[in-house]
Amino acid sequence: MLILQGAVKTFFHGTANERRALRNVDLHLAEGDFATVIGSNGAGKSTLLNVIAGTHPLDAGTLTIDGRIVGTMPEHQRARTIARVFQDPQAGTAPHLSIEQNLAVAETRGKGRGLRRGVSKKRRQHYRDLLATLGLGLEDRMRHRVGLLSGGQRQALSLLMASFTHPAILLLDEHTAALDPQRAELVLTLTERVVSESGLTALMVTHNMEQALRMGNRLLMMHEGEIVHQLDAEQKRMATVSDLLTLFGSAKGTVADRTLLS
Amino acid sequence: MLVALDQGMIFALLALGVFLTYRILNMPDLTVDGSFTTGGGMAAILLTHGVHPVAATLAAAGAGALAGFVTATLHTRLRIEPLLASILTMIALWSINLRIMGKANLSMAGLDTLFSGLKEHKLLKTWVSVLILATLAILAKLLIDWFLATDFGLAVQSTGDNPAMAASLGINTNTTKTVTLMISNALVGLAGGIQAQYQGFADISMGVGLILVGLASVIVGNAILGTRYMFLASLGVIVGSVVYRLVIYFALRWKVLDTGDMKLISAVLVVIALVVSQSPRVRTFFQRLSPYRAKEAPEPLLHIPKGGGEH
Ligand SMILES: Nc1ncnc2c1ncn2[C@@H]1O[C@H](COP(=O)(O)OP(=O)(O)OP(=O)(O)O)[C@@H](O)[C@H]1O
Ligand SMILES: [Mg+2]
Repeated sequence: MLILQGAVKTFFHGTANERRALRNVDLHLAEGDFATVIGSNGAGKSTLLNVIAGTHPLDAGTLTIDGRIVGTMPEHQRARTIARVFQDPQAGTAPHLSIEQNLAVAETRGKGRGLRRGVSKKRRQHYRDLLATLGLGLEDRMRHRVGLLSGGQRQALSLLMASFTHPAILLLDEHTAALDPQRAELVLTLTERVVSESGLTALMVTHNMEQALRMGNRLLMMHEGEIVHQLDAEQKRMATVSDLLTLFGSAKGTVADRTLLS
Repeated sequence: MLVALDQGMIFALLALGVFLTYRILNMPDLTVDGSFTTGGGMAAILLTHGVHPVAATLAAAGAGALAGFVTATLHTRLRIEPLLASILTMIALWSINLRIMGKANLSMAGLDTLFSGLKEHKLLKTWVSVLILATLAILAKLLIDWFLATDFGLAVQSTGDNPAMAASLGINTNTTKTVTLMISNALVGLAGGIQAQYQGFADISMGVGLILVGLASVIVGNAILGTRYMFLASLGVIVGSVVYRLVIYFALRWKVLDTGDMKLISAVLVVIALVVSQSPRVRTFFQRLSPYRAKEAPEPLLHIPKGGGEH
């Protein structure tokens, strides 16, 4: 489904500020895989998602999705198959557009956008039903500007916008980090539902170890631009938070050693 | 005073163009100063060559669109910052405009123009001409409203509102920016073509400083009618343009200022409009006044979700 090989991404190459965000990352995701990604700040998790989505071009390495090489494809073309939800609730929606207008923009993902009415009657009815499944009462506020919504509501809407057109791949970057525990739980439940309902292939970055263990069927641990540990479904089921913390410690050790040697 | 209304309606076309870039795309586009003259010069030179006034006016809009395309290309392909890209086009257009016109001032005296009929019947600067020009401005406004509500128009709005989100939803923001800059400058070129025929001549410096006139109209108009509803926001732009002309008209008439002070007035007006429309006090004042603005209740502080929600 998704194969990333030898991915390298360096920011500010050749300057004093050089940041090696991805060193040599290999990642294979089978169709329907749902991998959680953990790692300390600056480990390269967001960068991994960004190079997959096409926000940043790869310096080296190849990315194929469904057998197609997409390494040079611009972000807006990849968006046909890749949808994402950002950490910042502000990032995934247009604040001055209404809820229904935002949904209309999301609905035309990967299609030509012509001069047909954006929010048609038919679409509005569809959106009402979709919004009702969130259980947030947004179906009664469809003409309100998204900027008026709370972070949790915006994040739930972003998730809906990312998923209701059934893209092949869903990228989630700490998408519950800015929410209070109750809203975070709600958005997580929604995430599990959309991923299992549509059989999406998904990557979810999180700093919450319990979330990382609970969600999905695989787990990736990143450190200093590399994937240092991977757990498959079986290992993940057995693992506890303290196991993850031990792995973290050892990862830091090994990488630190390697840095010393090189 | 009717001449001020005539002018207000003609310059409303320019202001609607500025509205598209400044408000919708969130991009200051100074091409306007050049493309207005391009439109005026284009219409004038074609008329002197015996082209039909309607065709000449449409050509003015086309020339404007081309100017917008140049700015868009500088920005999207060559990655020059939008403000600088538009300044570059604006400056370069000065030479292009001179080439188009052949000289710095082109008179259309005695030629058939859009306004010949009105002039003959002494209807220029009367309610008849105001009504005709207002119809044109309203028509342009309705077209913009329609355009912005289409799938493509929503993509344009997202591009201005949240470019990262737009790209992540598959919007080619280069395309949306290019098309919008072209439409915007087509309106500006159209305004230039019409204004040249209205005043009977095209002048190389007829566009200087007009970006401020456009901005003043947009800001004043939006302060009066708000930006919540597209229908009112674009209507506000026309209202703003008329208000601007009336202010100028009375300032000149009461001899507070003379024509040389016009640019200064534009700049001062923009500053006042910006400061005033950003003041929270003025905002709440208008909100109380307007029947439309306060309709949306803010998010309740405590909102208990109704559970997961079943299918
Ligand atoms: N757009 C960018 N420009 C410059 N440097 C960047 C950019 N994006 C990431 N970096 C750098 O790349 C490295 C990895 O950053 P990244 O955002 O991928 O980390 P992360 O694992 O997502 O961290 P966090 O948990 O804090 O979100 C960091 O050193 C960061 O400073
Ligand atoms: Mg991150």
